[in-house]
Amino acid sequence: MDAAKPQKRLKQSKKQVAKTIFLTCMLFYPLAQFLVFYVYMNFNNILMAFQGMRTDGTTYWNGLENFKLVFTGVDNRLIAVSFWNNIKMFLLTLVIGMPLNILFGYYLYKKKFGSSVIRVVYMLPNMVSGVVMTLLFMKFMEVGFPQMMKELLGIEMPNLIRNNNSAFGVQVFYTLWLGFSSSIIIYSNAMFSIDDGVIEAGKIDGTNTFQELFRIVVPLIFPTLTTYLITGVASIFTIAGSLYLFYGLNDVPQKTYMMGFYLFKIAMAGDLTAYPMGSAVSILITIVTVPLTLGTRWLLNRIDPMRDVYGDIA
Amino acid sequence: MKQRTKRKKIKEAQALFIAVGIIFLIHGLSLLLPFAWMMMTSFKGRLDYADSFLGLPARWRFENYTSIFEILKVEVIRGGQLYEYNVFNMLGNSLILATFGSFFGLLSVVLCSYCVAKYDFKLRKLLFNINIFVMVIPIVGSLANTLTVYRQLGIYNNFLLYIILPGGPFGFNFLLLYGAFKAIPNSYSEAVFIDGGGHLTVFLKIIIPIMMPTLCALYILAFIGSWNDYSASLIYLPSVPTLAYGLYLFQYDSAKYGASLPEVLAGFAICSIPSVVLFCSFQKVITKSLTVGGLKE
Repeated sequence: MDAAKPQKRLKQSKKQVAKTIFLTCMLFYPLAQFLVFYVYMNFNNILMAFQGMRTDGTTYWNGLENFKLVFTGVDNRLIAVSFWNNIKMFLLTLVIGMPLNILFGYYLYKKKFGSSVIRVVYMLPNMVSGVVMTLLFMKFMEVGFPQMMKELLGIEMPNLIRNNNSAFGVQVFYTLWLGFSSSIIIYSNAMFSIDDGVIEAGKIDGTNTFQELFRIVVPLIFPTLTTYLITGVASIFTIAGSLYLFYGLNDVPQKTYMMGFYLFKIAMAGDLTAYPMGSAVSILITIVTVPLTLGTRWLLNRIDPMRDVYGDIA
Repeated sequence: MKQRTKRKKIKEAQALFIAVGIIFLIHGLSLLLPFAWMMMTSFKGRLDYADSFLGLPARWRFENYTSIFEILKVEVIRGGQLYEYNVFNMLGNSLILATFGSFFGLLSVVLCSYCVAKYDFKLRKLLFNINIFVMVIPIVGSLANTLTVYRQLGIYNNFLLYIILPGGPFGFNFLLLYGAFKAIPNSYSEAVFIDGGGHLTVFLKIIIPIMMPTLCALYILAFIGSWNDYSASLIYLPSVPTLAYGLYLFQYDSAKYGASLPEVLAGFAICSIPSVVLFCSFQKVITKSLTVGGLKE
C-alpha cells in the first residue's frame, strides 16, 4: 500500500511533465509571434512617435514635435477630413448595412426562394481579386453609368469618381455594395444555430414573422451582432476604403481621404522622415478609439436582451 | 376577425420576403456582373471592347489568353540587379505564398486556441483575455512602423521569413476555433489516454480529423485571400512579384507592355481560376463554417 503511493505520485508527476512539455511546444510559436508582432511592434510604434527619423533611417529624440505636427503641420486639414470621413463611413455602413444584413440573413435562414444560390453568389466577390471588382466598378461609373443616364434620361453626368464632392459618396456606395457578402453568411449561420424548439415554441404562442425576427432571432444572435459592432468600432479609424485602387497614391480627391489611406500613404511615399508622424497619428487614433470601443461594449452589455440569461459580456 | 388579422399578418410577411428577394436578386446580379464582364471582355479585341461595354464579342479571341503569357513581364530590382519575372515565375511565387503563408497563418491560431480551449494551465485565462483585449482594445499601428520593424528583423523583401514569421494567434479565427475545440467532448481524448496515447496523439489523430472541415474552410479562405492579394508584394516583398501584383501593375501600365484591356482581363480570368475552382469545390464547407459567436468564454 505504502509502496504504491510514491509510484502513483511519480506517474502523476510524469503526466504533469508531459503536459507541460506539450503545452510549451504548442504555445512557443504563437506566443513568440505575439510578443514580436504585437507587443514589440506596438512598443516600437510608441517609441517612434517621440522620435525623429533622418533620411538614412537613423533616429533621434524629438519629444512631442510629431504630435504638434499632427495639429499644426501641412497635413492637419487632411487628417481632420480623414478623421470625419472614417466616422461617416462607419456610421453609414452601420445604419444602412446592419439592418439589411440581418434581414437578408433572415431570408437565408428561412430558406426562401433561391437561398442556396444566393449563398454561393454572395461569396463570389471574395474569390476574385479586388482589382477586378474595382476596375469594373470604375469602368461602369465612368463609362456605363453616364451612357445609361444619357440614353434613358438625357442627362449629362459628371465623372462622379473624379469629382471632389461626389467621390466620397461613391466610396460609401462601393463599400456597401461589396460589404454585404460575408456578413450575411455569418449572420444566417448564427441564425441556423438557434434551437428549432425555441422557434416552434414561438409559433405555438402565435408569433408572426416580424415578432419571430425581432423578439426571438435578433436577441438570440445578439452575441454575434455584439462581436461585429465592437470589432467594427475598434477598427473604425483603420478603414482605408479602396482609395488606392481607385486613384493610386497621389490622385485621391482631398475630400475623400480616410485615415487608413493616410497612414498607408505615409508608409508608401518612401519619405522616412515622415514615418514618426505616422506613429503619432496612430497613437492619437488609439487614444480616441479605446474609450469609444469600451463605451460601445458597456452599452451593448446593458442592452443585451439575453443578459439575464447568460450574464455580462466577458 | 382574429383569422382576418392572422391572414393580414401572413400577407405582410410574404410581402417582406418578396421585397427582400427582389433586392437580393438585383444585388446578386450586380455582383455577378463583374465576372460576366471580365469573361466577355477577355475574349474581345481592342476595337470590339470600345464599341460595346457589355455586349458579346464580335469574334471570340482566344488568343488573348495565350498572348498574356508572352506580354506579361515584371521587372524588379534585387541586390542591385534587374530581374525579369514572367507569368510562370509569378505564378510560382503566388502558389508558394498562398500555400505556405496560409498554412503558417492558421497554424499559430490552431495551436494556441486548442491549448486554451482544452487544457487547464496557469496562462489559460490570461491568453483568452489577451484575445479579447486584442480584439476589443484597438491599438492602431502605423504601416510605417510595421515596415520599420520588418526591416529591422530582416523580413522586408525576404520571401521565406515573410511566410514563416509574421502573424499571430489572436483575433476572429481564435474565437471561432476556440468555440469549435471546446465543443469536442473530452471523452475522446480520455479514451486515448487510457489506451496509453499521449497529448500529441490526441491532437493529431483525434482533434485534427474532427476539426478538418472547419480547418479546411479557414485554410481555403486564407489561401484565396492570399492568392488574390497584390498588397503583400507591393508593400513588403517588392522584389518577389506575385501574379496578383503583376496583374495589378499590368492594368495600370498596360500601354507600356503593349497590352489592351481585354488581354489584361484575360490575365485576371486566369488568375481567378484557382480561387473559383477551390471555392466551388468546397463552398458548402466554407459557408457553413463561417460562424462567429460572442466575446465571452
